[in-house]
Amino acid sequence: MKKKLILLVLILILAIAFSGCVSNKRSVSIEEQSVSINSLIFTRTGAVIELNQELPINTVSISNKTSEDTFTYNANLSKVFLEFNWDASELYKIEINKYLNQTYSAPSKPSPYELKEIKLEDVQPANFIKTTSNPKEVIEISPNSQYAIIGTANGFIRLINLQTLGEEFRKKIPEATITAIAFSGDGKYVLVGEKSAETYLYLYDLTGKEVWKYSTAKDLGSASLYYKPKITHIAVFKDKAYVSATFLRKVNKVYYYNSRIYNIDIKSGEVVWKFPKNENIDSGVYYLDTNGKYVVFATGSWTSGKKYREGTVYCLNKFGELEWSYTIEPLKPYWDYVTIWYSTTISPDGKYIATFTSDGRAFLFNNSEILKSKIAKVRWQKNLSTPIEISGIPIYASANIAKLTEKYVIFSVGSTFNPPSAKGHGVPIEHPMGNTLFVFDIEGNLKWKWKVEGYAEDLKVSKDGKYIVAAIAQNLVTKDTGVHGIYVFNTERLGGASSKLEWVYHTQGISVASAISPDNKYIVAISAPIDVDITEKEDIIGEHKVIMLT
Amino acid sequence: MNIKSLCLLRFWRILYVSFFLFLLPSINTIADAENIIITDLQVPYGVSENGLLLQNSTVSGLLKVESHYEDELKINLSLIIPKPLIPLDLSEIDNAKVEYANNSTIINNSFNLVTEYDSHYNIINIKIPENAPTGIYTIYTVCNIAYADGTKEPRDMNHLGFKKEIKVKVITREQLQSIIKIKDIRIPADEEGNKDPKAEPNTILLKDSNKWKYINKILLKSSEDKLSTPASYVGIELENTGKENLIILATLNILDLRTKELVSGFRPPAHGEYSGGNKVYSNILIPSSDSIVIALPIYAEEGEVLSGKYIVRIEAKIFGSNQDIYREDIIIKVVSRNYFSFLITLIAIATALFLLLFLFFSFNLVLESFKTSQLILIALFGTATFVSVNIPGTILFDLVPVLLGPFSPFSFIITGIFYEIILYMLIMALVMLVPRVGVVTLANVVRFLMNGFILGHFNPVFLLSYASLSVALELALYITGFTFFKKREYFNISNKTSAYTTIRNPQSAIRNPQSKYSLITLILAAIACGIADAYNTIVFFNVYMFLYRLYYATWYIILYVVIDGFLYTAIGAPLGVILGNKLKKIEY
Repeated sequence: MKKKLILLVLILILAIAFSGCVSNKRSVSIEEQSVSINSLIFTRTGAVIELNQELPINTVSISNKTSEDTFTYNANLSKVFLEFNWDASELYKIEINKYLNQTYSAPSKPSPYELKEIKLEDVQPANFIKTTSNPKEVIEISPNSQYAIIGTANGFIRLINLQTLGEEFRKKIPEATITAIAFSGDGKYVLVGEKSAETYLYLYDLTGKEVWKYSTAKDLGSASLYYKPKITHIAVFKDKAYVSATFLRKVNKVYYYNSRIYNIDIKSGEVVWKFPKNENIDSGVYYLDTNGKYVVFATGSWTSGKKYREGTVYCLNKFGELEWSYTIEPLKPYWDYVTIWYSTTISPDGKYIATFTSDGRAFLFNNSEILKSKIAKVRWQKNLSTPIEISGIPIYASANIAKLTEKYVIFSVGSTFNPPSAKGHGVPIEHPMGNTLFVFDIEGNLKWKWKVEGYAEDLKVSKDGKYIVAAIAQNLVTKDTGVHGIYVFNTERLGGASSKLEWVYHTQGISVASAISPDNKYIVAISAPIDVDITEKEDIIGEHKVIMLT
Repeated sequence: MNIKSLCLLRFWRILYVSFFLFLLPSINTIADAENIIITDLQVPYGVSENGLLLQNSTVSGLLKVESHYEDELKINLSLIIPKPLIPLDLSEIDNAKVEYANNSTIINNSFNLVTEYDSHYNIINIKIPENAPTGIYTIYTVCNIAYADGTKEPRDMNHLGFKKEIKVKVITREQLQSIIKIKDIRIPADEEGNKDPKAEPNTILLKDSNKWKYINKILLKSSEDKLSTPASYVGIELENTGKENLIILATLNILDLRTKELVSGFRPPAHGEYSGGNKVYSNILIPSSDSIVIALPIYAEEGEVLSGKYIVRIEAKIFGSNQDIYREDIIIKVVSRNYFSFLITLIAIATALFLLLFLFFSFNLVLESFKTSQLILIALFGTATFVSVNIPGTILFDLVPVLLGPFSPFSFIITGIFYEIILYMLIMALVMLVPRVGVVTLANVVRFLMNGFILGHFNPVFLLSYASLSVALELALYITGFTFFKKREYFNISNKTSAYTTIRNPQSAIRNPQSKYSLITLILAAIACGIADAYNTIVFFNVYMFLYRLYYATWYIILYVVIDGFLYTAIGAPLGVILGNKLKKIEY
C-alpha cells in the first residue's frame, strides 16, 4: 500500500514536471518569468488585464468552456484591454503570449475601470445645501467614439482623444461660461455655445481652430449690467445644428425673456432659419431636441402672461415651420406660471414627444397621431412629484430631465426644495418622490424606478438605449457624500433598478456631467469640488477633474 | 373541457407558478416581508417616532409604502388610528374603506407596487380634539402582501402580514410652549441669523433700485447680482428643552401697520431660493436640549416698498400642525438709501477730484517748492506710516474681531491705536519737521500708493478717504497755524515758547534745538487733528453706508467718531508734536 502511494506521488511529480516542459514551448526570458497578472477586471465591454510590469505582448487569448477569443497586440503593455462578451459566473482562462495564464471567475456584474483623470482649472466649490451652486458643465463624445469635448463653467474647452487619453487642444473663451457643446454629424467639428455678452455659437475643427462664430446677442439683445444671454442647448442632425438661446433678465422683480431657435448649416455657419422668423419668444427655452425631421422644444418662465405662453410644447418641421403646439396650464394654486427645464425630447423615430414640467408633471404626446389629426393632445400624464401641502407649505421636488427612446421614457426628479435658511441643521423632510428616476414604457406603465441617492445633475442615454448614465451630486437631505459619483444602468438586464444598476464609480466631489460614447465603450464624467461645511468655515472635498472610464 | 386538457392546464399552471417562485426570492417569513415592503409612517410629517400633537389642532402625517421587491406585489394596508384622534379627509385616500371600531378608526387601502422602489403614499390628516386626554397614543399599520402575477390577479400563494407602530404624544399648548421657546429675535441679522451690533435695531434698509446698482457696479465692481437677494434677515433663536428632536416651521410675513394686511411689496421673488410657493419660511430640526438660530429673509426693494413702519409677524409651529405655538409681532422701520450719505459721498468724490486735478496740474510746482531733503523726509515718513500703521492695521483688522468675539464691533478701540494714535504721532512729527502746506498730502500719497501696490488696497473708498483726510488735515493745520506762518504768530501767546518759535520760524527752531513747545500748542494740535479726523471718520462711514448699502446705528457712529476719530487722534497729535520737536534736535 505504502509503495503504491509513493509510486503515485512519483507519477504525479513527473506528470507536473513534464506538463510544464510541454506547455513552455518557447524559451522564456528572466524578465518574462517575473511578470505576473495583477488583476483581471471585467468591464461592460470586456475585460482589462493588469500586469505587474510592462511586457512585450504578442497575443492574448481568453476562453471558457464554449468559446475562445484571441487578440493580437505586438506591443509592450502593462495593461491589456480585451473586448468580448462575457457571461456572469463563468470561468475564464487568460493566456498571454501562450505561456502566462490564469483562470478567473466572471462576476455577476461588471466593474468600472478608470482609464485616466485629467485635472481641470480651479472652480468655485459647490454649496452642500444648494444644487443651484453646482458648476454647470458639459461633455459630449464624438460620433466615432474617438473624442470627448468638455466645456467648463470658467470658459475652458478641452478636446480629449479617448484613444491616447491626451488633450488634443485646450482653449479659453474669455469672460464666458460654456453652456452647450456638440459634435457635428461627421465628428470633424465641435460646436460650442456660451453665456456671454455676445453669446456666440462657435465652430472649431479638431485642432482647435475657429472656423466661424455666430452671435445670437444680435437677436436676443445685449447683455445688461448683470444679465447675459446664453446658448442653452445644441442638437445636431447630420450637417445641421439646432440651437436654442435665451436671455433672461429681471427688472423690478419682473422677469423678461428673449429666446430664439436657430437652424444653422454647420459647414458654412449660415442661418437656415430662425423660429420665430421675425421676433423673439418672450419665454425661456432651455432645451431642444431633434430627430432630423422634427425639432421640439418647450417654453418656461417665472412669470405668466406672455405672448408665447410659458409651458408650451412646440413641434416644428425641419423647415422651421410650426406643426403644432400644446400649452400646459399652470399648477394652481402653487404656481401661476409653468417652467420646463431640460426635458422636451422626441423619440428617434419621431413618433413620441415627452416633456416634464418643473412642478412634477410628466407628459407624453403621440406626435404621429397629432400630425395626422392636427389636434394636439396629451397621450398620457403622470403627476410624479407635484406639491403636497403641509402646514400651508408646499413640499415639492423640482422635476428636471426627461429622456425618450423608442422603447421607454425616463423622468428624473431632483431634490426636495428646502430653504437655505435651515443652514447647518438637516431637516429630514423630503417629498416622497424627491430624487427619483422613473422609467415608463411608451404606454405609460412604470417599468422600473430608482430612488436616486443624490441629485441627478446630468443624465445620458446611450445611442442604442442600452445604458443610462447618471452623474450624481449632493443629497440635500441626507448630506451623504458617499453617494456622489457616476451610476450606470443596463436597461437590458431583467429585474428592478438594483439589478439594472451595472456599477457605481464614486467620486469624492460631486459629479456634474457625464457622457457615454456611441459604441458604449467610454464613459466620461466631470467631478467638481464641494464645500461640505455648511457653516461659514470651509471644508472642501473633491477636485475639478475629468474622469475617463470604461 | 375533458380531463386530459384540464390536467394539461393544471400542469402548465404549476409550471408557471414554479417559474415565478424560482425567479423571485421567496417571501417566507414576516421578517422577509418587512425587508421587502418598507412602511414609513410619519406623524407629524417628517417625524417617525415620538411626535408631539397639540390639543385642538390638526396634524398632517405621511404614510408611505415602498417595495424593495423586483416584481409586482399586491399590498393590503390598514392604518389604525386610536380614538379620540380623528382621521380627516378620508375621501382623498384612493380606494379607502373605513371601519369604526370601539377604540380606533381603521382605514383599509389596497394597491399594487409594480417594481422595486415603487411606492404609494398618502397624506394623513388627523384632528386632535380639544378634550383629547394628554398622553401617549399608538398609531399603527398592518401591511399584508401577496404576489401578483402578470395578469395582476392576486394569488394567495404566500399571504403575509406585519405590523408597524409609532408612538405619538398629545400635549397641551402650555406644555408645548414650555418645551419650545423663542429666546431671541434679531432684526436685522446676517444670513446666519446673527445680529450685527453696529446696525440700528429693528431697521431694514431697502435694497438698491437699478440706478444705484449701476453706481455700485462702477465704483465697487460688485459681482453679478443674484436674481433674488434679500434686503436683510430676521434671526430667530429657538430652544428645544424637551427630550425629543422637533421639526419647527417658522414663517415670516410683513403687514401694514394700520390695516394689518399683508404688504405685497415684501413678497419674495417667484423663484427665490428662500421662498417656496411665495412664502418665506424655514423648516428646521431642533435637537433635544439644544437651541438653533433660524434666518428668515426680508425681501424689500426700492420702488417696491415705501419707507416707513411695518409689522414683522413671526409664527412658529410644529411642522405638520395647523396651530401656532408662537406668534410675535415686531414693528420695524424700513428706510430707503440715506441721502445724507449720498451727499457726503458726493462731497468726498468732489474733494478727491479736486485733489487729483490739483496734483495732476501742479505736481511739478508742488515738488519744486520743497527741498530735496524735505521730500526725502516726506517719503520717509510716508513709508514709516505705511509700515507702522497700515501693515499692523491690516493684520489686526481681521485678527482683532476674532479675538474679541461678541465684542468684535468694538475692535476699532484696538485697531485705532495704530490707525489714529501712531498715525497722527508720525504725521505731526513730520509737520513739525517740515511745517508746510502739502506735507500731509504728499505723505498720504506715499502711504496710499504703498498701501495699494503692496497690500492691494486700491479701493475707491480708500481713495475717497485718503483724499478727504488730506484736505481736511491740511485745512485744519493751516487754520491753526501749524503750516501757516501768519496764523502761527496769532497763536504765539508767548514768544518764549519755542514751539511757537518753531512754528513761526522753522529755521529759527532748527537753529535753536533747545526750543520748547507750550501746552496750547499740544492742545491746538489735538483739536485740529481731532476735528479733521472726526470729519474723515464721518466721511468714511457715509461713503461705506452709501456704497455698500449699510445702515449703522447712530450711537455706534457717534462712539466711533468720538473715540476713534477724535479722542485717539487728540492723543496721537500732541505726541507727534513732542516727537517732531525731539527729531528736530537730532536733525539739528
